[in-house]
Amino acid sequence: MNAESTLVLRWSLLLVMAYLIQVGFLQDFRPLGVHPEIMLLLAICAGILGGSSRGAIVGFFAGLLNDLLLSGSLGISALCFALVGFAAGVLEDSVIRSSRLISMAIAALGSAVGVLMYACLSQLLGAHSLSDQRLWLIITIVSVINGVLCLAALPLCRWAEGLGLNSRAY
Amino acid sequence: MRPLSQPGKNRQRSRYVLLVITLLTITIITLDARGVPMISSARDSSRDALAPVRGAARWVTTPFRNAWNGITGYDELREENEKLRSELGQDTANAMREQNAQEELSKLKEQLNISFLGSTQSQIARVTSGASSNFSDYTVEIDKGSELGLAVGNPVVTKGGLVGRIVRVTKRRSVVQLITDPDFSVGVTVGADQNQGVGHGTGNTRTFIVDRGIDLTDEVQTKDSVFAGGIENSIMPPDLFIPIGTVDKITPDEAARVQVLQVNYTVQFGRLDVVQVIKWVPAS
Repeated sequence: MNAESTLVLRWSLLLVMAYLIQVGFLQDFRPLGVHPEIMLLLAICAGILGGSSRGAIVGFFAGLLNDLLLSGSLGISALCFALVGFAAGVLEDSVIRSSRLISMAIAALGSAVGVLMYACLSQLLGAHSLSDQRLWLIITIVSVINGVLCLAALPLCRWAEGLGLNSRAY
Repeated sequence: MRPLSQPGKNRQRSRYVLLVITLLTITIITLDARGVPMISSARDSSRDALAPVRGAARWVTTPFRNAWNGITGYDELREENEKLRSELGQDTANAMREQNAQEELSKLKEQLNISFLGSTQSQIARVTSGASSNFSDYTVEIDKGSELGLAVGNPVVTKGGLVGRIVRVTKRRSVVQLITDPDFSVGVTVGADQNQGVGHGTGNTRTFIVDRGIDLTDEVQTKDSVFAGGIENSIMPPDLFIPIGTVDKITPDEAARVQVLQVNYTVQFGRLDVVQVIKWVPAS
């Protein structure tokens, strides 16, 4: 098996695992009524570790899986997650010296942007997400939890990216 | 470790990838919004295929979820605990063991004896999951689908009254739009005089608003019952009177020359478990 196939296989495995955790557990793990969005987190981590291109591709598939859970239009999460994954890669590139704290900040910021972007696009397609009274609460909670969860997600993404679990790459 | 800056060629490739993905997703969104059958059926098949996986994942994580619910619902658990302690003196140990099974059975029996359904064909279903989105999407998923004759537009009820209507059906699952959705409008009949109006959800699980059709001269009182149905060309069966709730507050709107009714639901949306789907579809 060549390196490219291994990469695809590892990322696919990670996506499926994240999806199962999201539907199996995190949907009911709702601090203040808001659940974490680990599919979005995965897109951001892919961008941080694999670059903007990887972030966009992983974000697209993570978003598509996420859209199957939701009753809204198919493709909204895919678009948002891909854009956020790409942006995370660009942002990480612009940082001179990567650190765990910077990765956490990028994950938190990316999550906030991703949720807000999803709300805007859904509203355009007839949902009431942007006018949801809990919008800022949702953004805050998802950002904080994803910022923290990023510490656990990054080693897994490192493995998927073929950098090794103990690599010092953030 | 990934290089800090990508060479120009890689950067160009990244932009190209982003452009392709963006165009692809916009195409998917457009096709889905226009209801192209290929996209809908692909989505439905994927949902069906993923349903057992989701079920299995939820089953595996039940202990964790229960633990979490125990932590977050501590006050509720304490109250329940006190109640159970007082009941313990009255009930025998056997009755306690059988309690869960009996509750389950009574929930099902309740749904079999819904008085307002008469002889209308219906299908019992179980709510499998609530809202999957962080944003309020006012939907629940039930475990029955088109293979049992369910279709888009079928009203969904419990013994308490109207729950919503089916908006998406796959072979084995259906998505129900709840009546609490602000976009859910339905024709209603109010009180003994059977005044007809139109009401809609308000986004919360307590109040339904009737703000069209009830003239200032119509006789309506608090505690009057509000029903969906009984109206020709409605999204609800014209020959059934499905309870929605009772009038809680009446506010005259002089400008629109109508009475605005605030209605308290008879269905407890926080405890939806077993529901009944009426096999009836609106004419259009």
